[in-house]
Amino acid sequence: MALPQELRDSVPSSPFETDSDVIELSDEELRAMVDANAREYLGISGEELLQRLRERKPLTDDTGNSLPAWGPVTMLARLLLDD
Amino acid sequence: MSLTARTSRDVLHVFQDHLNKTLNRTLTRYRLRFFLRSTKSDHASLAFFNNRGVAIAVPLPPTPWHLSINYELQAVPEGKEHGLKILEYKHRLHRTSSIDDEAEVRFEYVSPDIDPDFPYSRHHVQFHRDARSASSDDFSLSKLHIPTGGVTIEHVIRFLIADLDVPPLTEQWEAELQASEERSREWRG
Repeated sequence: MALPQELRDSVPSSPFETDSDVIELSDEELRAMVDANAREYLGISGEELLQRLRERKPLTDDTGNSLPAWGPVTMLARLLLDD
Repeated sequence: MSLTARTSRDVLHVFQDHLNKTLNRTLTRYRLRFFLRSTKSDHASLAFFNNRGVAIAVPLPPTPWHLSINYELQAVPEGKEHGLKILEYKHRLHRTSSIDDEAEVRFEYVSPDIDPDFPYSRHHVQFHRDARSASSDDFSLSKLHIPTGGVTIEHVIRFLIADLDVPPLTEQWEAELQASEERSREWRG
């Protein structure tokens, strides 16, 4: 699955990117992005993340707390959940 | 005056533009990016992302701090216009750019739409698990004036019951608190 064009551009020369702040993604593009974030921070696939989200089973550390990146990554993944 | 716009996409864009203007004028030149699902464009997620589409905390030089911001937003019809509902937010201060590193401090909100059974204060602040031992000249919990927003008696009661295990006087404590909060809202107008 491919990331959207805006996210495949080369690294910008400055942190200003005023032309691509609003990015509308197809379901396929959004799944690729969720997958990239889930693998980077949670060590699981995007599909497994969505399954855990539906079942309300967060990934936790040995003290029972959600992993730090769980919240931010799920806030993106929830765009894929149907009402 | 509430924030409204003609379309759902417009109201989301106005809010995102407001956040980026404020950030860019006061703190950092990085910009929040705002993602929409094309088939469900009234729902958006907003954060700082790198060019691979991975969420990051951005540096705040020359300090050691990094800032991550996440908003989940819903545009809702209001008459002929659209208003905005914040479903969840996270403002976190980290010591690295990785959002996988536990934040030193985080200001967060969880709406009833996201978790109707959330028993804790919906607006809350939390610290790194080692915050006390990690206290230093640049981050002392006894010296910093950490912003919280208004804290009501209902918030304090909810904190005592849900976090500190103080036994409530009734099993309907949450409903009682909600009724009290509703009464306060009516008084405020």
